[in-house]
Amino acid sequence: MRVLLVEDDAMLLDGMRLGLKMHGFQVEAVSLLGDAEPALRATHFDAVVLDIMLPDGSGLDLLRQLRARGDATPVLLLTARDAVEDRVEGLDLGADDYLGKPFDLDEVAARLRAIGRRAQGRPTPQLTWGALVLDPARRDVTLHGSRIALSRREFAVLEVLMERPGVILSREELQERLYGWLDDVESNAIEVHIHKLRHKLGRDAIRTLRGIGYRMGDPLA
Amino acid sequence: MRSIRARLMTILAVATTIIWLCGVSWIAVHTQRELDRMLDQRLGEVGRMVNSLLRSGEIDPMVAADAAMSMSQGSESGPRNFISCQIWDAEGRLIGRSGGAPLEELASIGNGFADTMVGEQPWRVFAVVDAVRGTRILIGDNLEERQAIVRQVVLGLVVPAAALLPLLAALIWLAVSHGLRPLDMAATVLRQRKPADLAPLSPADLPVEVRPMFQALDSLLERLAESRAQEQTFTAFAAHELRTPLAGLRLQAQLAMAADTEATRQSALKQIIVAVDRMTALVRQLLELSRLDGEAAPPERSVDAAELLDETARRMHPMPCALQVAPSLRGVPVRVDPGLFSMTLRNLLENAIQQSPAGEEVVCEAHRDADHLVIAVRDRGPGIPPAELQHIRKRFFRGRHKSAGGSGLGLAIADAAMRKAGGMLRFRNRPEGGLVAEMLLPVEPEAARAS
Repeated sequence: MRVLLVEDDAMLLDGMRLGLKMHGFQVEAVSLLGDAEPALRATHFDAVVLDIMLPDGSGLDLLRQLRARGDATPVLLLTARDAVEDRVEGLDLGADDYLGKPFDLDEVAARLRAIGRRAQGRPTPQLTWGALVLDPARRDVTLHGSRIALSRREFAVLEVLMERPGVILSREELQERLYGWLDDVESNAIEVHIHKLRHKLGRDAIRTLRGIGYRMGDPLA
Repeated sequence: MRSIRARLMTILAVATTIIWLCGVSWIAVHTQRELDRMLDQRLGEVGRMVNSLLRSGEIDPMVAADAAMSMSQGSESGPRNFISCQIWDAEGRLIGRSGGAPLEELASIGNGFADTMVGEQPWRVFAVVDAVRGTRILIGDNLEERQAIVRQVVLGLVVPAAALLPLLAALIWLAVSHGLRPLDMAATVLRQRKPADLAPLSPADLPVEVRPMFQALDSLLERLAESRAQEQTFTAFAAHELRTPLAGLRLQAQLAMAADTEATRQSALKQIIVAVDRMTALVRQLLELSRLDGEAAPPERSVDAAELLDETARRMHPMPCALQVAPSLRGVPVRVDPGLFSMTLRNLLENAIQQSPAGEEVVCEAHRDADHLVIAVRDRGPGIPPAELQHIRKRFFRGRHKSAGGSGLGLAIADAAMRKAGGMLRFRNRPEGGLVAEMLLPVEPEAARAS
């Protein structure tokens, strides 16, 4: 999942970036509302972790703006303002979840996965495609019950493809979801990952449509 | 006198008694005068009457003298006493005398009134002289008898009045007690209040005289409530401010536990130390602020400005910046508590250093400006956006250019300490970039006049 983190406390920002990365998220971080706005307009994010008390304004204003223009990106409010009224206000303004500080890192990860699932209309946590089962929480993939070892990037590509099994994703889209702004991406990085995945899962696991993109092949028997 | 009731009672009782006494005295004096006048008048009338009787030549002087006596019994409503009448002929023989009149000559005067002593007793005498016949008619009142009449009249008035006095006293007591009842009721209302109840009392149904006191009480209650609200807000704020560093701490601990490389773990643990240090500084600042709020202002001392700055530099050793003291400050007295002074300066310097980019110097300089001692701290940081200038003294305020480890309390502490010390803070952006934070302390007036 690609997550935008909006938090002004430097230590918290760094810690969350590292922690969420360890949980398999792709994290971009900003510390001002003024930077969050353009980031959200420029790229797609699977979720936003939003602090309310920011130096240049209230995170709730950003939330309002997002919802006003019809942006349905899931938002998790993470803030020290923890009274019931604050939670109710945040949720009613369009937030999908609300956590107070201090929080548990694992809980944040789980909640992010949950709101990601809801946004995709997926009730079950695991992604299943035939005999292939991908567990986003445990970061593992099994085929016919036996575990398949995948690198972090391979897992990420497979996860994106399995989230929307019938949808064709272009190379650029895959790159966008996998890599951060600061990452150096080789032009054929995606092809390499797809190739490796096919090697581990079977040739027909992923279908290439030349000039358009990739998608999951027929469900594996 | 510690009792309003007793005080009122005493004042009223004394006043009433004085008035009563004055009244009675006036009655006595006036009655005396009126009586004298009336009796003198009677003397005169009787004298003239007797004279005209004698003149007529038909009446024997003795009979005439007796007639005088019977005349004196005139009206029944008037005083009853007997006058004495003497009729002396030209040769000095007593030719007529009313019954009971003395034998000595009442008076030796010609026409008119006189006060004489006859024997041991004072008399009031009226004389009519008939120059033709040479007779002298003397009509006199024994003054002691007059006094008896006066006494009778006065007593007749005073005794009932005296009987009224205790009645008056009782009435005054009742009136005072009743009048002071609203105070008792107000006291009851106050006593029934719960200790935490700081709502205003309602002065509407209290008597006008007591209202100022209750209004003062109300304003005191209001200030208490405000101060408590401030305290609660402050506590809530402080607790709130700790949550973000605590979240960072917890996070780093989880990262340390989940780290897959030793380097990551070490980095997380280091971050934990940093977070704890930050929170320690925050707690220290909170305690400082709380003490500034709570304690009374320490007594000001008159200190030499230059010595004060030297002392402060010693306390803050090592000074994070050079302190430039203008020579004109030697011998200039200021009134300030050195502890509050150095607390303010320390916070301003910390703020300046945090804001300054590495390698840029913070300059701290002191000089005299008219009747103020000015200590200016100058940095080359980003300064403060004009829109934020009015907010920077607020607690927990962190602006655009906040530093990583700051709490938003440094300037609030400096401001509170400076105000408590009797001075003030001023902030300005420098045209060349950066901030000037100035501490202003009033210089002792004598020195101001001397220069």
